[in-house]
Amino acid sequence: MSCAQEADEHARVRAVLDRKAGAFESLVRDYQKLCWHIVFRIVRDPDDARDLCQETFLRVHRQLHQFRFECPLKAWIGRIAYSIALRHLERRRAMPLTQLDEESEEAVELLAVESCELERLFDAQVAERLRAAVDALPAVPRALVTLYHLDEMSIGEIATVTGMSEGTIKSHLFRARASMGAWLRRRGVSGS
Amino acid sequence: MTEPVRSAALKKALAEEADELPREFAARVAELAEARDETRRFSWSDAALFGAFVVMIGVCVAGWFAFGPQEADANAWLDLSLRDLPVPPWLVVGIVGLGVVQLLTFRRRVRGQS
Repeated sequence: MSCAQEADEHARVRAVLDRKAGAFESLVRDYQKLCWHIVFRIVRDPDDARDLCQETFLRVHRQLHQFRFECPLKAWIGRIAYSIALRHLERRRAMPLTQLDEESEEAVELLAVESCELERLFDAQVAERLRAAVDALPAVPRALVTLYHLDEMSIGEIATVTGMSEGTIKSHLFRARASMGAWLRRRGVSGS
Repeated sequence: MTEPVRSAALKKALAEEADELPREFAARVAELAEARDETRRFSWSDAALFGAFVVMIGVCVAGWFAFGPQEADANAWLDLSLRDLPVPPWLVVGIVGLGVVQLLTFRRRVRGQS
């Protein structure tokens, strides 16, 4: 993070702590998409995701005075969203969090996806199926894929958000990608 | 382990999916957060006020017993049995505890804003 960005974050946080009008609303507006990406990818229920996003920002507001600028603000907010969503899911115990199912495991073993394959697939107008392939992943890899590919967070920032090691995150991302490739192939989507 | 290659296709596909947060989400959450903050601040100021009140009463009672007229007649209006009551320890602990909590809260807020 550059010095200018850091100074900007300090100013924003200070403005919220000083209760300047509109400061917190502006912060929410800037990070609500990120929060949605994390929460919705994990819980997959729009109503729950809306409630959990609200809960996330209420906690951000309550705990902002504890933010020590040791990581970017977006990673700190992301961590809160991630832990709230994960706890919600664990309470429900509805679906596996990290384990790929048998079908996906098999696919990972069978397929080594070339780095350009997904781009090739996109050219074939399969965005919808690509999203479905992401949805077919377990909750945690799904969130990791979203943070890495959509929000373009660095592996280090994702590590801050999730509390996982960088190696584990990379491993999840490689496996998720392989799994998605296999999923798409099984459904007859091919770039060739 | 090398970093995975970012996929433009995935980014594009995922970005096409709009979030389902209501348009006024930010305003509503900010309003709610500020309302809760107000409630919290009121509860703290209420507690502080109550603490100050208890301390003030304590000081008055202690002052009365220390410096007040010692003649029984002068205290006739006051129930004499009240004078024999020692200050209950829980009251002392309560007042000291309240003071410590207030001090810690104040320090935390100051540190959080610095």
